[in-house]
Amino acid sequence: MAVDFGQICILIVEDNVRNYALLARLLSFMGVKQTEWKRSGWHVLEFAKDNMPVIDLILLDIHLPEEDGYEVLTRIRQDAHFRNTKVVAVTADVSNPNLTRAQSAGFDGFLSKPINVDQFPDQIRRILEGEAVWDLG
Amino acid sequence: MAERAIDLARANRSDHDPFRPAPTLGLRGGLGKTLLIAFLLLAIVPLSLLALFTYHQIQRATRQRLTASLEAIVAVKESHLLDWVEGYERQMSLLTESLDLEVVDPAQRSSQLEQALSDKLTMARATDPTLTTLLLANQDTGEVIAYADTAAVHHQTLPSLLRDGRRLAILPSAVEGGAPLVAVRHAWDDWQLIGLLDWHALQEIIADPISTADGTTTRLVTGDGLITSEQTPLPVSLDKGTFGADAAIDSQATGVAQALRGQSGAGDYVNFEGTPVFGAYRWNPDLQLALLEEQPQTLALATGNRLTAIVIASTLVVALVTAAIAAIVTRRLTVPIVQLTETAAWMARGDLNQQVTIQRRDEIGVLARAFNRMASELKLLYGQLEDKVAERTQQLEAAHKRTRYYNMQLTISAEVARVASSIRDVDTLFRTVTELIGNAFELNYASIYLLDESGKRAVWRAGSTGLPPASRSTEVGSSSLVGLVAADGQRRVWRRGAAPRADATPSTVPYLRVECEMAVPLQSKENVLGVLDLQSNRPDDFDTNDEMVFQSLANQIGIAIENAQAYALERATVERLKELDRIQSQFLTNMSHALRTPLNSIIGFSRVMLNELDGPLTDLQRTDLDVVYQSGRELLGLINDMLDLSHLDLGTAPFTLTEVDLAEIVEGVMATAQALARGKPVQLHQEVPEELPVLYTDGQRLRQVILALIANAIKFTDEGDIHLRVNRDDGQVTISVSDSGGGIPPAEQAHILADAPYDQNGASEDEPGFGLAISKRVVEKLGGQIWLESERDTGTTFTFTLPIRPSDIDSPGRDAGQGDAE
Repeated sequence: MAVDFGQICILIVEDNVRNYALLARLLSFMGVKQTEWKRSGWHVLEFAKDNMPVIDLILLDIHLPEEDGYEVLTRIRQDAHFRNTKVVAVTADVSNPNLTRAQSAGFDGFLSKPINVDQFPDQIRRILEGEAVWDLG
Repeated sequence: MAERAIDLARANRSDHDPFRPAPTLGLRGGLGKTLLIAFLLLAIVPLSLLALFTYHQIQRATRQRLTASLEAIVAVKESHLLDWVEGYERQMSLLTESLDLEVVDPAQRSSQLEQALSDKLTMARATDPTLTTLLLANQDTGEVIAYADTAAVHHQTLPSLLRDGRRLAILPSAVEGGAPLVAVRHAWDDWQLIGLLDWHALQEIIADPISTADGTTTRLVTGDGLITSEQTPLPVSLDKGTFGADAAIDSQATGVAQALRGQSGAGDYVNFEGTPVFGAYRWNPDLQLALLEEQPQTLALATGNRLTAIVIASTLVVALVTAAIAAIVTRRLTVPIVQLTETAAWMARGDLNQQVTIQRRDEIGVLARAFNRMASELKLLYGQLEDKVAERTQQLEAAHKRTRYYNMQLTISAEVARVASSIRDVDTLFRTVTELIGNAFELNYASIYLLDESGKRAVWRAGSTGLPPASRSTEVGSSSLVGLVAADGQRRVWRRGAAPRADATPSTVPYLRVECEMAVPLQSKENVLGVLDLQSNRPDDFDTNDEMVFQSLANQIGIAIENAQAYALERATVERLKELDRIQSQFLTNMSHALRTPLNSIIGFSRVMLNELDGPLTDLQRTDLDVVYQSGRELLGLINDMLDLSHLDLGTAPFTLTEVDLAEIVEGVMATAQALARGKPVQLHQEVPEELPVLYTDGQRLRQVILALIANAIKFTDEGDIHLRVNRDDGQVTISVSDSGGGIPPAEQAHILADAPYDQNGASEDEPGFGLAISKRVVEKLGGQIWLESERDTGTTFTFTLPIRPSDIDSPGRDAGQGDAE
C-alpha cells in the first residue's frame, strides 16, 4: 500500500525547537503537507479537544517536560481521538533497555537521535505502511 | 521413687483387705475331690466285694444247709412212712391170723361165709379207730368177698388200686370235700386183706415235727399221679390240672417230675405251684410213691437275707465312716496345699509380702516354713533389686539430664551463632538472642546492655520478656551488677542473701522472685561492648558450668555485635558507592542526552544541506560541510563508546545471551569491514573453518568486539593485509585479528588494553579510542580472554577466546554485577 504523504497528518511532540525544525524540514521535503507541533503531552491532549485533525502519526520525544514520553503514550492510547494513530518514540536516550521498554510500552516504532537523515524518509514510510521500525542508530 | 513407694504401701494395705478377691485357682475341688474319690473307692469297693462274696457264701451255705436238712428230713420221713406202712401191714397180717381168714376157700363161698367174714371184719375194725374199712378180696380178680365199712366207699375199685402189688394206695375221698383214705393190705395165697385208714393217720407221719423249718411242706406223690398237701389234704390227680380250687399245678415242675421218674435228690427249683423253693424229693419204689419236702425260698432265705442286710448296712456304715475320715484327711492335706498355692499365685503376681500361716509339725509344716523363708529371701532380693534399679534410674536420669543440658547448650550456642550470623540488625539480633536464652534456660529475665558512645553508661537494648527494666541505663562502675561488670569486664554472680546490693536490677516479672543474677561482659578483643544480664528464680543456677556456657554465649554475641557493626558500616559504604554509581550513571545518561541533542541538529542539518535539500552547494561548501558532518558523526561515536564503557564499568551494561551463529556474525562483520577499508590499500582475509559451533553468547557484543578489532587494524595499517582467523578449541573458540601494520611499541602494549583508557593523554589520529578498552571488558564479561602480540614493522595480532557455553554468565539482559562495581 503506497502512502500518499500529501494526505497524511503528522504530529511532532518535541520540546526542542531545533529538533522540531529538522524533523519538519525532512517531512516537508518528503511531501508531508500537514505537520503539527506540540511541546508537551499536555499540549497534545488539550489540542485534541479543539478540533484537531485526524493524526496519522505522532513522533513522540521521550525526554519531555512535565510528563515523559511513556506517560504521554498511555494517555494518548486512552484518548478516542487517537484511536488509529501510530506513535513512534524519537529519543536521544539510545540504549537497549530503552528500546525494550518502548516495545513493551506499546510504541509502534523507535527512532534514535541524531536522526539518520538519509534513512528517515524510508523509515517514516515503512511505519505508515504498518511496519514496526526499531532503530538504535 | 515416691510413686513407687506409694504403690508398695498400697500393696501392703491390700494384704489386709478382707474384700480383696483371692486368686481363684480351682484347686480346692481338684485335689480334694480326687483324694476323696480315691479314698471312697478304696474303702467301698473292697467292702462291697466282700459283702457280695459274703452274701454269696451265705446263700450257698444256706442252700447247702437247707437241702441237706431237707434231704435228711425226707429220708427220715420215708423211713417213718415205711415203718408206718409195715406196722399196718403187720396189723393186717395179725388180723388175718386172728380172724382165721386163711381157711376161706373161695370155691366154697357162700353168703353165710361172706356174712361171717364181714362180721369178723367189723369186729376187727372196731379194735382200731384208725381203720375205717376192712376188705377181704381176691388177689387176682379183685373181687371183694367181705368188708366192714363205715363209709360209702367204692369197694370194687379198691383192689385194683393195689393190683400192682403196691403196698400203699391213696384214695380220693368218695365224698366231695372229704378226706382221702389210705389203703394198706396184707396178701396171702389168693387173698388179700385191705385196710382203709383215715388220712390223718398218714398225715401225722408226714407232718413229723422233726421238720422245724418255717413253711416246710411235706408232700406225697403217688405213682399214679396223686399229690397230697398239708394245706389241702385232698389228694388231687395231677392230670386234672388243678389242685384244689385255686392252685395251678405244673406236673413237669422239678421235684415232682424228678421224683416220678424214680429219682431222688435235692435242690432249689420252682415247684408245681410255681413257687421257688428249696426242696428234697425221694422216690420209694416199694411204696411206689415219692416224698417231697419243700420250703419256699423266701422263707428259707429270710435268715440269709437278714444277714445280708446286716452286711450291707455294716458296709454302708463303714463306707460312710471311711468317707468322713477321708474328707477330714483330705482337707487336712489340701487346705495347706491350697493355701501355699494361693500364696505362690499372689507372689507370682508381684505381691511379695506373703507369709503362710501353717503351724504343723509334719512335712507340710516343713514345706510351709521353707516357703516362708523362700518368700522372705525373694522379697529381700527383690527389694534390693528395686533399690538398685531406682539408683541406676536416678543415675541414668542425671546423665540424661546432663546430656540434655549439654545438648541444649550446644543447640542454643548454635542457634545464637546462626542468629548472629544471619541477623544483621543489632536490635533484632539482641531481641532474638535474649528470647532464645531466656526461654532455653527458663530464666526470669535475660537482657543485653550496650555501652553508649561515651562509654560512661550501659544502656538496655533488649530483654527476653520484651519489657524494659525499671531503669533503662546504669552508670558504668556503679554498684549494680551490670555497672560493675561493664567497668572491669569480669563476670559476676550475685545470690540472694550473699551480699547487699544497692541498686539491684529489679525483675520485670514481679511475681517471680530473683534468687540469683549473673552478668557476663560482652567483649570485642579487650574492649567491653556491653553486658549480658541473666536473672533466675532458682537459687542454685549459674554454677561454674553455667558461667562457662554463658561466657561462651556472650563471646558469640560480642562477635555478632562486632560483625553487625562492621556490616552496618560496610552496608553504609556500599549504599554510598551504589548511590555514587547511580549518580554517575544518571550523569552519563543525562550528558549523553545533552550531547546528542545538539549533535542531532549538527549532523541532521549538515546532512540535509549535503543532500542539497536546501539547494545546490558549491564544491567548497560541500567539502566544508562534509567535515562538519563527519566530525559530528565521530563525536557521536565517541560519546556512544564512552557511555558504553561507563556502563560496562558500572555493571549496568546489558548483555543478552542467545544462541548465536558465529559464521553469520563473521559474514556480517566482514561486510562492514570491507566498507570501512574502502579507499585504503588493505586486503581483508578470513580463515574460518567450515564447521563453526553455535555459541551461547551476546551476538551484538561479539560483533562489536570483532568489528572494533578489525576497525583498529584498518586504522593502523596503511597498506597490507588483515587476517581474521577463527579456531575452535575444546569448549571455546579463539578469534584473532592480525594486521601487517607498524606494530605497537612494547611500552604502549602494556596500556593499550588498559583498564583505564581515560588516562591516555591527547586525542590524535593515532589513538585507538575506546574500542579496545570496550572489547577487553566485553570479552571478559562473556567469559573469555583477550591479549595482543606485536612486533615492530611486522604487525599486531589481537586474539580473544570465547566459551561456547559460558557457565558463569547468567541473568541475561540485566547484569547486576556488584563484583564488577568493585
